[in-house]
Amino acid sequence: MLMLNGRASAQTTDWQQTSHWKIYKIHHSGSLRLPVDSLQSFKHIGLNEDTMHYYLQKMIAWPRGKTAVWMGAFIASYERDQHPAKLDISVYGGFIFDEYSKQYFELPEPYRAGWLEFLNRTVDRIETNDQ
Amino acid sequence: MRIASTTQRWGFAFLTLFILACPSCRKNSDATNADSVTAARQFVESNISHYGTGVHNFGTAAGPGKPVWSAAITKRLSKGIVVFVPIEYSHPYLIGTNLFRNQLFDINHLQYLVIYQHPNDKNSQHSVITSVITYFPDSNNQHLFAFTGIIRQEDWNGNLMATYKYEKNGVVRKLGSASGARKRQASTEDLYLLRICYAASGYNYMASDPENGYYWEIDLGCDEMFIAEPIDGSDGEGFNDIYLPNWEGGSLGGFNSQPSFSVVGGNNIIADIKDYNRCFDNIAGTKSYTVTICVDQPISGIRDTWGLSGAGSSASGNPVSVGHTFLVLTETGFNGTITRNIGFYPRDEVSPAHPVSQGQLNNDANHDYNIALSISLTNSEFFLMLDFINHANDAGYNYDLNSNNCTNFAVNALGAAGIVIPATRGNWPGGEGLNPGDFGEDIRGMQLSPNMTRNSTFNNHPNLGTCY
Repeated sequence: MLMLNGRASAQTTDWQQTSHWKIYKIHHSGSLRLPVDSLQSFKHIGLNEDTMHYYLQKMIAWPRGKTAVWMGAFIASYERDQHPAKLDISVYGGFIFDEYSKQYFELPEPYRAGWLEFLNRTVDRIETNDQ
Repeated sequence: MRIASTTQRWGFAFLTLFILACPSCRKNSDATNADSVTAARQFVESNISHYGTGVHNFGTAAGPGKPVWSAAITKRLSKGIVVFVPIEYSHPYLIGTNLFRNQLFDINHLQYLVIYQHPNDKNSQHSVITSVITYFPDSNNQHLFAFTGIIRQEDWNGNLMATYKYEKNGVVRKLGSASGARKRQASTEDLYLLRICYAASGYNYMASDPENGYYWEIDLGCDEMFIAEPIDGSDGEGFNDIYLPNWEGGSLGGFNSQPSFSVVGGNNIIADIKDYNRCFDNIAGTKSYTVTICVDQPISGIRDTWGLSGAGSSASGNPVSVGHTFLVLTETGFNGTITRNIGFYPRDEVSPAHPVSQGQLNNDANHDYNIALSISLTNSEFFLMLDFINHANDAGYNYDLNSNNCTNFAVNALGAAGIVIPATRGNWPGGEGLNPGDFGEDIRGMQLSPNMTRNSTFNNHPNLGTCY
């Protein structure tokens, strides 16, 4: 496994074009391996689109080849050009992996606490809705 | 939160208006009320500095609180004519207290600007008391026809004046400060007074963006049971009349209580680990303590140290998962259960090529696991472990993928309590060390002591319990 590190580049994805954001509650160690079309069978809830766009616009793309190890993830999905796509969100370090573009992005440190709190609170509502 | 009362000098014109507005001098009560409110408004607007910017008793995120003069009412109390003006916040929010568990109240129904003339100073000194009064109902309000709970009195600038506790037997007590325990000298021995402290907390947010709020907490003062003395009102500034403007017929509906919801947890990144853990009490004999080590293996049920993620091949840069190990701490006692999830992470991304980063503790209440080991601890063991954990956010305490990762952290936390469990080292491209893959299988295969239980089925593990 070759891990490269490099300078971040400006983000290139137009997140404003994404919609129908959802986050999933998946108790499965292979959640990162799940294809997007299988996510609908898991409990999920909508993510506030404005909030998602706010944070995603802050994301910085990593250079191709730079990766990181994962220690847990939120699994989210969205639609772009009416096609579903999956986003893996790390529970640490503020980075994400967009399976649509096969691209890593990183949220600057000052935004991470709010970002993770937003995600956690939304996931908590999945449980609440079940009760 | 701050509280205080401001004593302001009456202007002659206002004094005249207020005297004219006295119900004993005027037969038309509607006109009396209107005149009193008009007089109070003129006084407040011309005498309170920063009035126009609004009151900020609960933080700027709530927006400025503004008096709603059109909804003001008057009431004749022991202090004379008192004008109550509801305060409305531009971004109202809910308040919870430990006086009334699982009930939340809309701040826009609890707070008033109150104006009255100083009872001992009506003619000569011409002084007026202006206060911001906040009502915090307690659980007795469900059953009684009089207000019970705590009333806080502040000035417009948020400076504390006094806090009063209204009890169901009609007793009103002035509460002491929440800071510092008081000690009294008895004839033969020192007595520490029994102190019960109260607090309120809330979650400020905008309705259009509920996720981006923040928590706050304030002291409501402490009750010292052995020195409780009825308020006689002789200080002339205390607001000890039992009256609540929206308390009609003793109905709880006046407070618009909200459905209960849990406010525990929230932050994923634990900024202050000692505060996060402060609900745990070190009391031998009366409480039980448990730590659960939760392991999320990269591939459930096997020792692989890492798992390729993503639906395709590694060539596309798919994520590589190393899994995670975290702790769930639980204390159970007469006052319920306290649960806290804690996991150790790097602050920034790590990889075998760049394995070190400043350590960071996170709330792992939403993290998955596929195998867990629960261990009952003594209070001594539990707090030795807690002491170790409480230093893991220290600057310079690094996460190292090879030598101080999440599994090392869990194993070392238990080791601090003198508990040793097997942990097999594994290797991966570019590194080696303890890891969730091996550790999960170590737990699955270990012989359990009587104080241990093993669980290979995921159960929700939310943070539970609050304390003040």
